[in-house]
Amino acid sequence: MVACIIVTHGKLAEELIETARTVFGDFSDCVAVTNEGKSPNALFEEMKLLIDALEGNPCIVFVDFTGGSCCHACMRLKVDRDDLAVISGVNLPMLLAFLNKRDAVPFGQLPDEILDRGHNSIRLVDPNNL
Amino acid sequence: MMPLSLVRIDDRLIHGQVVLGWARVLKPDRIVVANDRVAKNDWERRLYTASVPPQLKTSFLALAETAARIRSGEFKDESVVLLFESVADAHNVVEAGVHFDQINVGGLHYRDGTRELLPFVYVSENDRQLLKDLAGKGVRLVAQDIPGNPAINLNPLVTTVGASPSGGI
Repeated sequence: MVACIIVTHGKLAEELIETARTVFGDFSDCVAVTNEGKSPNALFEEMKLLIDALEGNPCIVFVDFTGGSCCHACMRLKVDRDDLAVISGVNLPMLLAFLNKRDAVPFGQLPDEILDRGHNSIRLVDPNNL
Repeated sequence: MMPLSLVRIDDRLIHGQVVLGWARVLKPDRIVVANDRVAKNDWERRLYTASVPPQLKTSFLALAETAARIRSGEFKDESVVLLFESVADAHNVVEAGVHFDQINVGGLHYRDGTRELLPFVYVSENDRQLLKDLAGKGVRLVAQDIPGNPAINLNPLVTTVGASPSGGI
């Protein structure tokens, strides 16, 4: 099963996972990480432990936004690793797409599926033009 | 001297608090990262550059180069945010003949051998000695993570060994 780690500022990652459970039902192999109170090195080491524990099992790493310390730590981890895909701008539809698709499509295709869902989920909602 | 709009010690260097917090409020022309490691690592420079909006210029300078350029007034017509990763790096530039009126200690996270001055400021005994030395040179040390939060005066906290973090503020 493709695993997932969500790395964000504050409690966003934890709450995304909790909220996804209320919509999707229970699921496993998803971990929330916060950068709160952690040095870049501490965050990197924590992420590395989590990734190493997967022993090469493919993993999607979600981060909240590009340019923050969460994203920096993940970019450092991603170097030279094909078993990881790092996706920024995580939102609830993207996490739900991950949960729906993680065992349905090859790992190489999974990031595009998630990105498509993310892009489609952001729009100006116009009740007069459904 | 260039009109440094912010001199900050933050072990994350360029990140969300700097770009979304400080740069939004101070509207600097340039962010200078003073760091020997980053200055010579092309990949790290690209990583940090990618974090910064395109209208904001960035420079990555070794510490000696930083001191030399500030002393020569190279950035005097710009508003500059200057970032250090550690107390030792900031102290190094001061030792090289640069005076800072104020340094913001914006984020030093827990490492082995450090103790908490504030929830976002952990210092080793060596850091404390260097901060005390900076305070003695007339540098105002303030701790402020983001612009909306209070700026806490650190000078009294670094001058006493084992000062109680809560009692000192």
